Amino acid sequence: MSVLFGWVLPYIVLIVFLGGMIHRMLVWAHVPVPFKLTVFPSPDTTGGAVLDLAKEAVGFRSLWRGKKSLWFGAWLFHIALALVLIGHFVGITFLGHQFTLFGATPEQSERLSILFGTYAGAALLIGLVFLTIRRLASPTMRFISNFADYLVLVLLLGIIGSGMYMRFFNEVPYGAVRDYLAGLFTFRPVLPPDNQAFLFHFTLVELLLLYFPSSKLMHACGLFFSRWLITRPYERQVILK
Amino acid sequence: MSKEQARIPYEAKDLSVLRLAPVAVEDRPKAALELLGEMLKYKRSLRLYLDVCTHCGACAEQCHSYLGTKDPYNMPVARVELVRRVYKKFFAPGRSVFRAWEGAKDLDQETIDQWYKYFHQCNQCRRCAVFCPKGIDTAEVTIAMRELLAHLGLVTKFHAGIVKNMEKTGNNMGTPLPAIKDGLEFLEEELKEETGLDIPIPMDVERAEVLFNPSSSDLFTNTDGLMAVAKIFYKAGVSWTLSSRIAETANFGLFFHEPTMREHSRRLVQAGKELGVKRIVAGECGHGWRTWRMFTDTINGPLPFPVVHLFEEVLEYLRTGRIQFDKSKNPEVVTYHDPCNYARGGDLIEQPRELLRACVENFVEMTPTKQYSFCCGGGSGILMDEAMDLRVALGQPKAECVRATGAEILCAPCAICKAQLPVVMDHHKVDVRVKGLSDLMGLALIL
Repeated sequence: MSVLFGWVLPYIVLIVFLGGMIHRMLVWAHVPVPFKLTVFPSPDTTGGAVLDLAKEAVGFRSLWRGKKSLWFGAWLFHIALALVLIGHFVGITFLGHQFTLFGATPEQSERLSILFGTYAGAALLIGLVFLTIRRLASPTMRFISNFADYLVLVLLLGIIGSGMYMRFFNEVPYGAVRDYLAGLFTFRPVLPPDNQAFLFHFTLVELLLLYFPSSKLMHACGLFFSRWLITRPYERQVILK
Repeated sequence: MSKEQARIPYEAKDLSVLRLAPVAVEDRPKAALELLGEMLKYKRSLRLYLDVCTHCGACAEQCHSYLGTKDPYNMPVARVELVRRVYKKFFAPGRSVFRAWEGAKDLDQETIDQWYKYFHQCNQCRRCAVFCPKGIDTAEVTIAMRELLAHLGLVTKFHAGIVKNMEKTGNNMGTPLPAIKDGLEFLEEELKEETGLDIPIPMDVERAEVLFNPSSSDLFTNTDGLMAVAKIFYKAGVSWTLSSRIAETANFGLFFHEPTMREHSRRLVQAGKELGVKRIVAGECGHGWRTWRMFTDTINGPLPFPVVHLFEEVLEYLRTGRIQFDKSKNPEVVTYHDPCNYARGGDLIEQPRELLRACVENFVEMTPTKQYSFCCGGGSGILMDEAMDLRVALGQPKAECVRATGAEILCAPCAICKAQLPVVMDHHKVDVRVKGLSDLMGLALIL
């Protein structure tokens, strides 16, 4: 089991995830856009349009215009997700000592790392639970939901739940995780940390990434393509300036 | 939860004008799949919109069609899902089991019936695109699906009739040229009587500065608008002309048939070239304006002259002092309805407001307004008498917005809005008169 899930699957996951994602984007990029579909008011320049796109991607402004409750849940979830992903990368690379770069002692840095990680994880879980309840509670939302929508929620609940479980009850040493991941990246595999919660967490992430390119999660990339259609600037042909 | 809405019952039998042959009922699913496959190859918008939706439901409460009918399939997400489930079955990438989880479904006759029904309950107003975090513009999907249905032989009688009129007479109402000329003479006499001046409404004047392209309804039903335009050009001292080739800015091809849209646009561009005008000025029509503004250059460009809107033209006269308005001629409380294809579709948001403030005393904004404004419910050619139940249901959210302003005059500068809104206001008992912006400018113009 360890060999399959710990050594073989990660490489398959990486190939399917990256390859599938790039493939989907190439398909989009190769389909022509016959007409200009700008929705006004729109910026006049390409720079302005890129800025608009960035504001939308960071602030979720279109959701803000509608129901504030959906904006809250969606924004909290996505921002916390970004923080948690950054936290994983930095925390595992520096073993929690990243804040020594800003003058903290190693012990202080570890405590800060745990503090930020816990808050970000809690925010992520709150956002996700909110979105899950929202989808389940309203008949309208159930009408427009299908199995895949629930499946993604369940996978994410499992991933984030097991993450928080490790945080509070069953901490996995960063060192073991770093050695394991470093082994994967250098093609000199070492055994994954022997911890049920970690294996559960890691396997669910693998499953999610396997599913990613075929699922609605592709909106993470598609967003920029689809919003560009309605955001891109369009030159006026008028007599007025 | 749904109030049953009758589907638009009348399908056109004769599609020769669209150069299409109806497909036998049993062959429709197969033909539809081929057409959808083709469209996915040249419409990036369609493919993206079918791929990136996360079913978040942000669009549902923003769609006047869903708010007015309470039919769950009228939520933009559910409307597009009718196509998405077929896309997932036959065209989407990935393992079939993954696609099954996303609701993949075969294409049967029933689905085609649902397409016909629900893609004729979308006004292509693009409000969903403003509120969708992915920027999904359901109008694009509706346009594509109506085109697909047209190729299956499913076109409303009303739309087919309009295309036929346009081809025969150069206007959607099907008015023959001698009748138009008679009508214009009559309007010139009216102008003489009203102002005591010889204000011409010229036709086919070569090398005029401006070719004015009105909605054909302006020639007979909304004649105040056309007379106002004549007065404004007269006062500003601009040589202008109508064309006998084409007196129609409303381009119904946009709604359901791209070749018709291209042909209509080509006809106008050709008329402008033959007359040798400096620019074409489009009259009051929402989707017509979107087509001229956004598509003409792409399909018939590059153009030797710009296509501008009447409001931009008149605003230039006003700002340079060539014309003046007397506000006191319009003392009523006026509110402004943003036609979808002016605000969201065609970049005309502040121009009409600047003109309105100059020519009426009491201007009040509606909520929501500008690019957030609700559609009148008649957009995309849902203007037929046989769909009256549907029209008043689709117009219900707009009626409530207008009621809340307490306005006496509703300024709606779009031919479709002008035909639709009086019906809606009457049905929902909102006491307001609907007028074009030209009408108000004509009243206030100091000659």
